[in-house]
Amino acid sequence: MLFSSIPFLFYFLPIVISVYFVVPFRFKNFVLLISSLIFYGWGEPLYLIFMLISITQGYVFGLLIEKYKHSKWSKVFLTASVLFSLIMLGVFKYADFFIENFNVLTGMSVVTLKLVLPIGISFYTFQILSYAVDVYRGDASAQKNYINLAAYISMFPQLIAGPIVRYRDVAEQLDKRTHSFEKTSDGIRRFTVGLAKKILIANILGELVDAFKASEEKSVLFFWIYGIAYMLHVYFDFSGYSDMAIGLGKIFGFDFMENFNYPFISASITEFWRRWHMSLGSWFRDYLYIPLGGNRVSKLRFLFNIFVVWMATGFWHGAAWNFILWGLFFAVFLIIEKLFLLKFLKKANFFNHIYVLFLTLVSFILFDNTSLKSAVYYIGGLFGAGNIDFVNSETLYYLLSYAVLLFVAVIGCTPLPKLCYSKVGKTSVGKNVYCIIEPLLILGILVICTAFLIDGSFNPFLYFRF
Amino acid sequence: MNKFKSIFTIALAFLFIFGFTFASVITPDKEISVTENSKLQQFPDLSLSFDFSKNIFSELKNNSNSIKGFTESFEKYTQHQFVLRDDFRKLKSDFVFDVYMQKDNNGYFMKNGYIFKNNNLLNLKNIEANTDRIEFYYNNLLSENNKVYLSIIPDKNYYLADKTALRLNYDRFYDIVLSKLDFAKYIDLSDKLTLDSYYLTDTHWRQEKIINVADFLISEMGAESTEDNVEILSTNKRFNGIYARQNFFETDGDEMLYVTNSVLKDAFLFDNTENVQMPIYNFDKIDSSEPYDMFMSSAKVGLVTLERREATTGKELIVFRDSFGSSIGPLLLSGYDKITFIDTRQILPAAIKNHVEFTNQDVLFLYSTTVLNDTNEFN
Repeated sequence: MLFSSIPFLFYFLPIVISVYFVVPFRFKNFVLLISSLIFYGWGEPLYLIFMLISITQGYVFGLLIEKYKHSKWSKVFLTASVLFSLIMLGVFKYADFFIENFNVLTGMSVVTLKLVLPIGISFYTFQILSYAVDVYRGDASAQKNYINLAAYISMFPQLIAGPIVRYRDVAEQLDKRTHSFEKTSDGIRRFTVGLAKKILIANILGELVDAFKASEEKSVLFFWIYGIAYMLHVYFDFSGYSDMAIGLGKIFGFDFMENFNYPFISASITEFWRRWHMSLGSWFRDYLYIPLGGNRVSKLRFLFNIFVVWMATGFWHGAAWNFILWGLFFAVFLIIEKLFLLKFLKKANFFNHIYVLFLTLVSFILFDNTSLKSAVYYIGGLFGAGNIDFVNSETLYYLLSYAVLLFVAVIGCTPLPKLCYSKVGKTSVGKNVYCIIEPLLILGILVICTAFLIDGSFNPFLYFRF
Repeated sequence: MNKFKSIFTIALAFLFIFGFTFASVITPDKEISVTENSKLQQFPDLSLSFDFSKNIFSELKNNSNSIKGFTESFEKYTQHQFVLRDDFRKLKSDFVFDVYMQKDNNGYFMKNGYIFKNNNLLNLKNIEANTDRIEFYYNNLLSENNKVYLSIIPDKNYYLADKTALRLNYDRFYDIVLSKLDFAKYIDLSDKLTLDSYYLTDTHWRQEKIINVADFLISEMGAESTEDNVEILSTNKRFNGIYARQNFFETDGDEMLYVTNSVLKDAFLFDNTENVQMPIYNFDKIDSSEPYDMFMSSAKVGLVTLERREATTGKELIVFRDSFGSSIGPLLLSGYDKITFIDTRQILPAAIKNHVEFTNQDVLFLYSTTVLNDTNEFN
């Protein structure tokens, strides 16, 4: 089930909210669990079994890790839990990648498994991994209530596309959380903004990307339009989903971490990755980079650590070489910045932003093309490779047709709208006007989004394949 | 103040969501969308069963697939049966054109009162499949004494003057089709038509504007037009064609005119597959969901013959056609005693032989660019 769908907005959510707020507190986690299982099973009924198995192993091993925390068995149980999680993820997501590459290298013809990737497996597996490690490290106590742990891992607001919620961040909220008009209304506002980002910006930019790919007469300008549109499409799709997840979390009394912080205003790639998919970045930092030694090691080891972490980051996004290259692409620039470039970037105002935007544009083209040949073709097209025209009538058509949307998207990915809105809201007149205008605006956005949903067709989130 | 804003936000959002949920549940389901001229998804069935004597994994998988099928259909059902569906679709259309100022909504746009649909993508797979079938009909149905002609009707986008609009690569399209179907003499209609030859709100051409086209085809096929007393009559009805009905452009629609002449007054139309006579112009269809079906009582009949009661020309014509053939068909009778119209989307080639003996008739393959490029339905 998608957040941006009629069944979710007008059937699932009203029922869940009604039941959730009616039942006493001690049953609220149970309601969340059941509704999350229905949410997940709606799209993937068979793979509910695998998620429940993953949750159960996390629960059992979590208790065992804590019970034997003063003995070597704690590490054994941690290892078992981590291996179980990684094997599950590996089999479903990466087995065919390894088999295909093994076949290429050896000339053999081992049959691939052709398993359908369970939706959200990368997200909930990482949550279970972080839970086991946090219990082992003593950063969190093992959850004795199976319902509570299952509710945390399967919670539908963030189950299928994040943010990756650490157990220790929500442990207390599972047992004690408050609900208030203000929190619920904040949640509704956040959810609505995310819905608008997804439906009114991301989806339509996706149409432009599709039009580019279907075009038989691409021009240099069309390649640039595609690159910019795709970059913005991924941002609004993913950050919109995160907003919806955070908003829904608030409605149910949870505070999830932020996942995006205006990444396109970054002045370096280092800064970009502190603003983009922050829950994933911090996960890899805490559970891979720091255990490897981080930057408190020799220079050679430090370079090795960066490469390992970014290769894993790329690989997490998809079982294909272009994702690994995408991760390594960033590794190279992160290293260059760490070694010497960062101090120059800090002084090079404006050019530092162009540098970041250009590199991220190229990286997303790599991200979008599982075939390296087509990635090279698309990147080459930016510079006129293939003897193509700079512009043609088809390009002009799409540029004129999507100009307003592109403008809205470019402004929307900066803090400018929020800054202006907040500034007006701080005045006494603004405060009073917002009391009426803001709720009406939220209603208006909901109405328009509903109109698009009714008129449109299937619109899955990009990060579902993870 | 904050509390008031919070409560007001919650109230409005929940009223909207819960209100429309309730309304959609209690409102009876509709079967057809009049505006879209299509069936609407009904509430899907879900049947689950578990036979413990069978393999547990295959039983789980079967039930899982049943649930998936149900959920997919349910999603479509909720979209199709949503209360005030057309109003929401109009709102979306207005937002796309007035706020985002996009050039089209779902590929449709309006220019100088005409509604167009973007058709810029050359579908080589469809073109190959369709030309293969036409070649098959030529090789397997026709005799060596048939004189064979081909004419491809440009869609109205061909005559769009706007150079910034998306257009099919017509040069490439015609090159591919004509080089494949080189067994037929090609009759080029492109300079016999203008944008004015087409309806404002529909994909089809206007019968009253293609009298010259029919005469041209007749003369190119070596026949002679014998009609006189040509009259253009009005049905006194306006209609919204398929393009208007699927969108929400402001339009007065099209006036439905038709042509009659001395030949048609003494001719009859016969459905060979159902063995029934039909009116050449079926005026009951004007108020139906597809008013263009008025011409030759609908395009959705596999094989019909239009015949003069008294033969005078000694010539017969067979037309392999799509829906464009329905309106030009009556005008072509001016050059022939009998015309057989074959729509191979509605009849199998083997069945054609039961009704038509191919001897020395003129044979015309008459298709639109839209059908050859956008569809793949020839039997």
